[in-house]
Amino acid sequence: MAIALLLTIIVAIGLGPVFIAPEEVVQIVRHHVIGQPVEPTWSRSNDAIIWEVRTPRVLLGAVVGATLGICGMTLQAVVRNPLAEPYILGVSAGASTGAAAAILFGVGSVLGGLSTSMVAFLGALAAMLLVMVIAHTNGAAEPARLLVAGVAVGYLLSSVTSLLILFADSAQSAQAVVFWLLGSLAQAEWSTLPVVGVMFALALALMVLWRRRLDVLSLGDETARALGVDPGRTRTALVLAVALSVGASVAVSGGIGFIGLAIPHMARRVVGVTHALGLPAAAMLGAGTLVWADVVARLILQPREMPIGIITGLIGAPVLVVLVRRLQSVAG
Amino acid sequence: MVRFGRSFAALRGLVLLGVMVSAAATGFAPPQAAAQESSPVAGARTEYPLTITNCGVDLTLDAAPERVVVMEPSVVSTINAIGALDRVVARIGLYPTEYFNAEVNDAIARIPELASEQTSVGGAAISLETLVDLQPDLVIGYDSETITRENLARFGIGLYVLPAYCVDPSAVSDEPAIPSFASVTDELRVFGQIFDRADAADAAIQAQEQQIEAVVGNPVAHGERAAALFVASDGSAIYTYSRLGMVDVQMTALGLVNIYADLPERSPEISIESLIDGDPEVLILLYTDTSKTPEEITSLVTDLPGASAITAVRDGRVYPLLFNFSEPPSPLVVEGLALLAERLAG
Repeated sequence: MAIALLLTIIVAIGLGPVFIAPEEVVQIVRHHVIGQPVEPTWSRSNDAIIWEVRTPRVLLGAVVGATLGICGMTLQAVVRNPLAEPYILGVSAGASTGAAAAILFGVGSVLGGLSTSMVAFLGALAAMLLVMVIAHTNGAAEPARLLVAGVAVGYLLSSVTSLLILFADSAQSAQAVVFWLLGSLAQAEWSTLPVVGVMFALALALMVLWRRRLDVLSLGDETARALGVDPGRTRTALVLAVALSVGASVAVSGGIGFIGLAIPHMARRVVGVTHALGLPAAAMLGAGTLVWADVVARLILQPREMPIGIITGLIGAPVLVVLVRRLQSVAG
Repeated sequence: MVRFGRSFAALRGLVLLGVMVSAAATGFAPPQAAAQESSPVAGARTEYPLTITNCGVDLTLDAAPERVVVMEPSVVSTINAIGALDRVVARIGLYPTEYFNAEVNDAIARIPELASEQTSVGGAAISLETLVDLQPDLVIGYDSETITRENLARFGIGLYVLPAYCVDPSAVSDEPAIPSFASVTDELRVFGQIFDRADAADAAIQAQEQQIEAVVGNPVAHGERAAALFVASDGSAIYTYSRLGMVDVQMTALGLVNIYADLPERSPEISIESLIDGDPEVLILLYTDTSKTPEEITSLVTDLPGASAITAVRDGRVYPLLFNFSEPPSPLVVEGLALLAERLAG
């Protein structure tokens, strides 16, 4: 799976609306990574397309996809609901509201060029905190309350975003907000990668470290307690890790749907239900799926781009349908 | 009183970028717009009832409209050119002062404003009740979420949709309408007919043609590759204009070659890769976000990843232009042409 992901990344850097010969793509990447060949024999525009546009975009897609994959898997275990996904914590809606406030009304403009992403991240965190406050009883987040609180905060913030758009005085700004609602990797730059990458690495480290706790948590709070795991504290810490890493992703890519919902189920089908194997599998499957979805989004209507949310929706919706049918069978 | 022919469905989403109304102004100083009524020349009087075909639909006016509501600056520009601004009783949308001279701006300021909010697709939003209460006989602009032909017809109010904003171009002809400067003069002629100001329209057309000829006769560019862009205010989406956009007509008149002229849609979204690969030598940036300075608008493109590989960015040949100076066809477009010629030459 790791080799397939590596190949996916290499091939995806070679694919785009502008055709660049594979050997030239390799030369450009080698030139920037290891300094060989020293003298470019390719055009300035091809160099910019490969190294400044496609490479950071593909890598961002991989990191965001991986983040959504592991966070989806973790949340489904934490709230014990197969329909849970990272955005139920309201982070996507919070980021969109923050971004809309930054774009339409200049909130956080003192932060300069990073203001929109920063305010989006803060919006995601604020939404998550609101959900946690609503969901907490007796010092612990109860799964059902967490879900309902997430949905309620999500709806509330979506309405606030719509209200902000309504009062926008420019179509140019309103258009920018659409990016946050549909999701896109078009704004990927090298500078956006470190924060998202570090947040992903930290979240993955915690989840892998607590892989057994996640397994136990999936079995129910009583069982978890019997096996020496404090469900309340574990859940709070994991939800916080999910919110921080997804918040960082959403702040640079908008709300890309279905990956966090569908990928965990695909991963479990491939490697089974334990989180020791499930988390790496969800990371790699999420990364590969989002990178390919973005390739399709870039190529299918070239030179135009299709919103990536449409592609991930087309992939995720059938998975959701299968899931619903299975749930019905179980209930029946 | 107004009567309509067959009705047609409103597909407002199709004109997403077409229905943009500019906001309050900052920016460069354009040439002055005509404020006075043009000198009358020979022109036929309009006989009422007048029936004109607008976006494939018959619009019948029983008399020259006396109470008109306008929906964007380009309409004010055309009405002003035929000296009928006194018929405007209300305005919807935003009217940046950059578009007009002091006299016209004063006149606009005296016209009551019905709404300046924007809908999710960028058009002006207003309640139908508020509009009907004003008892206008004609609204000029575009179909919006609340203002549609069908809605207004119920109250005997006519809606003249600017041809560039027809929601279904095939209603006019099988082929998409390729604009030209004749679109500006055609519009003046139609307005002259509607307001029974054919003589003023003829004079305005003559003036417009002279202005256009002054630029076309002395092109400031010599075949440089160019593109016109509309960039979302955080750079997250880039749109360009094909030959179906009025800005393509301006580029051709200036001696530029639009690298996206052959795209099938009027204003398709494009990728930054495509822009780098096309490597335009001149970029025209249409914008509506007047809360930003022209320099900030320019940085929307220059800050895009890989933008430094684009010749226009390296050479500093990126020219912001307020949207209505280029779209839709109106006397403002001719002003925009002169403005671009001046800036390209400089």
